[in-house]
Amino acid sequence: MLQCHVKGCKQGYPLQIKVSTSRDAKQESERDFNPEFLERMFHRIDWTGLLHAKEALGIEGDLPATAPDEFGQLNASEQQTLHHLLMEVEMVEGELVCPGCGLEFRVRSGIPDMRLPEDSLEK
Amino acid sequence: MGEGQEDQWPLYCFVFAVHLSLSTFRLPEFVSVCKVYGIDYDYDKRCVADLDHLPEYHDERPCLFVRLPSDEIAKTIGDRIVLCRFVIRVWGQGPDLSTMIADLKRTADSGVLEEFRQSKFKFQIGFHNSKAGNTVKKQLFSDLTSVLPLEGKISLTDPDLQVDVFVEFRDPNKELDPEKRKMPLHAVCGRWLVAGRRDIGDQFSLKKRAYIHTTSMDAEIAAVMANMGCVKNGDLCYDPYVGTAGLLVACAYFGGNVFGSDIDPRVLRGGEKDDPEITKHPDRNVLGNFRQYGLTDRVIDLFVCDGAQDPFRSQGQSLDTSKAPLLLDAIVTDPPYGIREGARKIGLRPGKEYDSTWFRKEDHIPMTVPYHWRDILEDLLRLAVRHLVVGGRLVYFLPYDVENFNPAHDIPGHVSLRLLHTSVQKLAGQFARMLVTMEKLDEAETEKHRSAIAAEEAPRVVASDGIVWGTDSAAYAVEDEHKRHSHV
Repeated sequence: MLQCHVKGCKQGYPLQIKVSTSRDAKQESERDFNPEFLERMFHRIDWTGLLHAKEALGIEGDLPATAPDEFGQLNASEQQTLHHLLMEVEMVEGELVCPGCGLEFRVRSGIPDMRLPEDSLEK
Repeated sequence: MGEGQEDQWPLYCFVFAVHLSLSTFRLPEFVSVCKVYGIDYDYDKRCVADLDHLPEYHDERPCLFVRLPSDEIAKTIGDRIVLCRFVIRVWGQGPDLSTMIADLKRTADSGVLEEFRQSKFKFQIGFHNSKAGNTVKKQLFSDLTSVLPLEGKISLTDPDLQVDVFVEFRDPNKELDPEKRKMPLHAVCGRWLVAGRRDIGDQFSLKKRAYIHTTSMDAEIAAVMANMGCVKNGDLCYDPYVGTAGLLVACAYFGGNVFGSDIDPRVLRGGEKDDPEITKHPDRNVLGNFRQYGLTDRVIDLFVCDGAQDPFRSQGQSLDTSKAPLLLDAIVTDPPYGIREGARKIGLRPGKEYDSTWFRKEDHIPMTVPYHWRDILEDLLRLAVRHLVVGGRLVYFLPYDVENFNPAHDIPGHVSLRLLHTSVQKLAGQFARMLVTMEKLDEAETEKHRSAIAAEEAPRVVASDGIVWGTDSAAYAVEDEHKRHSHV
């Protein structure tokens, strides 16, 4: 959902996910399956970005190559994969890299740092 | 709903906490919660006296009389309102006790109370602005008993039916005539349905919160703000100045899924990175606050970001949700205007050269420059317009100087945001803060709104990006224009 917000950077989405190679760089937890939430999220997700994230994080499970029209068209296992990917997987250590300008946003202790360098701001 | 149909709806009385500092929050909270449950309540048209003796709503009086479709809906709504004490299904009302009892008798005689004939019941009598004596209460008990068709047992602990009488007297601080003080202003009785959420203030009290800061939002106000934001299950909420997340905890409690960001990573983590206190107190950080209330599942992401920047995926300029799916249902926030916390944004200080090696350094703390309140507001409005769904809400506090602020003219606006409510809380000295509630408009409404602004008696200035300011809004500045420029 986040994008590179450097002024003038046109290709700021999706940010490439680089998970650190250290142990515990990725955390998976168990959360309650909330179909109501997933249904609401479904139309707000950029599917290409989602698939990219799935691959970068090395998440197993099925997801169709293109998004169906409705959340309900995903089968039960695909719905679980979506839930797992959106709610249960967290990158703890790593980088988010802008595909346009190459700027790296650090993720430390699960918190992405989206602040920009001082000179990339107008005014 | 047609006009006629609403007249047939039963009458309810919402008894509010008489909370003078928040009196102007009550009605907007009520209307917003109605909206959550699909009831479009135009209080200017609906919350008015449509029966003999029914008092009109007033911010300093406790009762709001409204017609709603059913007891179930009245209960659901009452059960979410923080500033509501309880809700009564009205059976009788009037300007004094005898009129109320006569009205109650009419209701009983019509036969609609027959279903309660065998119920276990109890009576509850409440007085506002008066400690009426036992004689009055005894008289009321005997009147109720003679009028109501109740033959069941009395149960004080587990009644199926609680009949409430609520009598409002004049404010003793304003009414000097001792005779008039004894006379009720209005009396209502009926079936007690549900308690409001006065308990939220205690349940989420900052005194018991794992992680707080000097600017943490009072738990009660935070919950009221989440209600103004119409936050419901599955909604996406964002606070760009999350701090210790008091507002997002409230949003998450009402079912929202939350994003929060702050310019200072130490605020999110709960301290400096190497601070041994962090490992000693694993819950003394933003996530810990959610864990404390079992709301961790509601947190989508916390990230470090500057309020001046918009970190979300771009949706283009279109306001049409079918073309560009928008992201957020509510933005609920209390921006730092530099009164208690100096507002900062990332930028190069004058005379400094940027060094490109800074950004890669793990321990580099970005340089910041002052962030003027006017820019904070403009950035916030633009963020709301770009990312809120149509009908989504922006709820934020705006502090101001009472003497110089003209609410009609000085609240910053945007052509794509409709100002719904303003609620004022008085602060120390000549300052107050206003809770502003705005709603995102679609394209057609935006154009109507734009024309309405142009047709105002003293039209405000509409900038090319849609931001609207009063021509002389600078007058109420906490910091004045002169200072603004000297910062940069």
